[in-house]
Amino acid sequence: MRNAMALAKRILQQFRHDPRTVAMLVVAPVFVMWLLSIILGSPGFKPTVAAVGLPDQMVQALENNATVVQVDANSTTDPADILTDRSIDAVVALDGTTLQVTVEGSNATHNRASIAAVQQAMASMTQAAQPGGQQGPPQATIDISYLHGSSDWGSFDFFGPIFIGVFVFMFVFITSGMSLVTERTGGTMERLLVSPIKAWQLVAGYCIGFGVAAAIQSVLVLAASILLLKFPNEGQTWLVVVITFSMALVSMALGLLVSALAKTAFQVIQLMILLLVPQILVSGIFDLSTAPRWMQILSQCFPITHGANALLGVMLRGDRFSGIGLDLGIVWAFFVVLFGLATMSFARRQTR
Amino acid sequence: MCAAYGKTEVLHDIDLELPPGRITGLVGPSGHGKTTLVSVIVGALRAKSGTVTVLGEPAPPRRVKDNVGFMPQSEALYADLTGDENLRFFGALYGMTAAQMAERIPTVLKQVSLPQQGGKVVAEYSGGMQRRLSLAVALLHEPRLLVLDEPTVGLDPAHRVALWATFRQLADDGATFLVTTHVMDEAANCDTVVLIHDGRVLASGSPEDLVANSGTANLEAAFLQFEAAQTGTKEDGNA
Repeated sequence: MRNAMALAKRILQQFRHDPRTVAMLVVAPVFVMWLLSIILGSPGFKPTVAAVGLPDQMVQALENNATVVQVDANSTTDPADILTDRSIDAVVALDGTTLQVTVEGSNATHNRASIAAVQQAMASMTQAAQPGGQQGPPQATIDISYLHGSSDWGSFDFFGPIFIGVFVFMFVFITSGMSLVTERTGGTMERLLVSPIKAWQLVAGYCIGFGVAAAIQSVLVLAASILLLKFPNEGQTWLVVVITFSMALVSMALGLLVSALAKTAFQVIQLMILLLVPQILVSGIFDLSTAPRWMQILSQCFPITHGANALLGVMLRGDRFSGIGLDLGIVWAFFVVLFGLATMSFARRQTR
Repeated sequence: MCAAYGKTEVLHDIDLELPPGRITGLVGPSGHGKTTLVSVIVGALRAKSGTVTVLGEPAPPRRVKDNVGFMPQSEALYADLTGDENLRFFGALYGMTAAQMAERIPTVLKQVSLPQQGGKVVAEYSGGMQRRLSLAVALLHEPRLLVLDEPTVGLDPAHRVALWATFRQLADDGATFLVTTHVMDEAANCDTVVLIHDGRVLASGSPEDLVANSGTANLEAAFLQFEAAQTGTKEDGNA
C-alpha cells in the first residue's frame, strides 16, 4: 500500500506544479454550466406574427403572446414574400371563416411559439364570446401545483444535475487518460513496470491520487453551481458530493483502461469521443420515454446514466440515500469492474 | 534465449552470463537488439524461448526487483516534478523510507556529479543533467544489478569519465553492471565486452583479448573484423 500512496502523492505533486490544469478542472465545468444556464434559462420566446386583414379584436388577442405586425391590404399579402426576410415567424390571414396560418418553418422553437400564440388567441376569443358559459361548457379555472420544484424552474434546472455529473466525468477522464499516455511516451511507465510495484497498487495509486483531486473538484464545482449559479437542490448536499465523486472514480478507472488501448494523446481524444458522446446522449438529457426499447436498455448499460439519475433524484426530488442506493450501487459496480480490468491490463504488461 | 516483438524475432540464440562485481558492456550498432536484450533482463519484455536468470530468479525477476536498477534509453523522468521529487518517488516505489532517502540522495547526486537543484523542475534541466538524474534514480536504492541502457549518451567528456569512475567504484563494492553502448572507446572500460550484431553475439571477451584475437589495433577495428567475418560466412552459406 505504501507504493500506491507514493504514486498518489506524486500525482498530487504534479497537480501542484501545474496550476493551469487545476484551474481548468474547476473553472471549465463552471464556465460551461454558466453558459448553459443563460442559454436554457432565458425567458420564453415571443414570436413575431404578421396579421393580414384580421379584425381588431383578433389582433388584440394575438398581442398577448406575440408581437403583431399589421400588413395592410395594399402591399403584398403573399405569405412567402412576407416571410422571406425572416424577421417574421408566421403570417396569419383570415380567409372567410378559416384562419390561415403560414409558419416560417425552419426553427422548431419559433414554429411552436407562433402556433401556440394563435391557438391561445383563438381560445381567449371563444371565451370572450361566451361570457357566463351559458351555452358552452361550464367555465373551469385551472390551478396547477408542483410536487417537486415550481413553475419557475426553467429547462436548465432540469438539466443542471445531469450536466454536473457529465462534466466532472469528462474532465477527470481527459486528465487521467492524458497523464497515463504521457507516462507511456515519456518512458516512465517502463520504469514503473520494472519497479516492485504491483499492478493493483499502480491502479489503486492512480485512483487515490486522482480521487483526491476529483473530490476537491466535485466540491468546488457543486459549491459554484449551487451558490453562484443558483442550482435548485432539494436534497442533502453530502449525497450530491458522494455521487459526483463516485462518477469521477468510474471515469478515472475508464481513463486508465483506455490508456492501455491508446498509444498517443490524439488516440485518447478519439476514444474519449467514442466512449463519452453516446453515453452523454442517452444519459437523460433527452427524454427516452418514446425511444425504441433497445435504446432504453442501452442507456441503462452506461455509468453516466445511473449517476445522472441519482443526481436528478437528490437535487430535484430530494431523494434520500434509500431512493438512489440502487443507482449509486451500479455506479460503484462499474468502478469495481473497470478497476479489475485496468489491473489486468497492467499485470499483462508487466509480465509481457 | 530468443526474443521477439510480435512476429519479428529480434534476438537469436543469445547465451550470456554476467559475472558478479564486473562491468559487462553490450556493444553493437543501433537497432541490432541491445535494448531488447536489456528489456528482457529487467522484465519489461518476456523472452520468447529459453531462460533468463536474474540474481538466481527466473525473469521477469519479480522477487528480486528490489535488487535491480534500470536506466532506460529515454530519460524516463517526470518533467513536471523537481529532481528531488523524482528521486523520492522512485525511492518510495523501492520501499525506501524518508530517512534512508535523505541519506542516499546527496550521495547519488555526488556519484553522478549533479549539483542539488532545489525547486527546479526537470523540464528546465539540460539534456545532460536529465541523463545524470535518470542514472541517479537507477542507483538510488543500491541495487546489486545495474542495467544501464546507453548511460553516457549526450554527456560531455568530463562527465563521461567521472561516470565510468563511479561505475568502477560501485563494481569494486560488489555491484554487477550491464551497460550498453555504441561507442567503442567506452567499451574499453568494461571487464567483458559482448559484441552484438543483428541479434546475435559476434564475439565476447575482455577488450584486450578481442583486440588480440582479431589481430587488429583497437576495438573498433576488431568489431569491423568480426562483422566482416560474420557476413562472409553467411554469404558462403547461401552460395
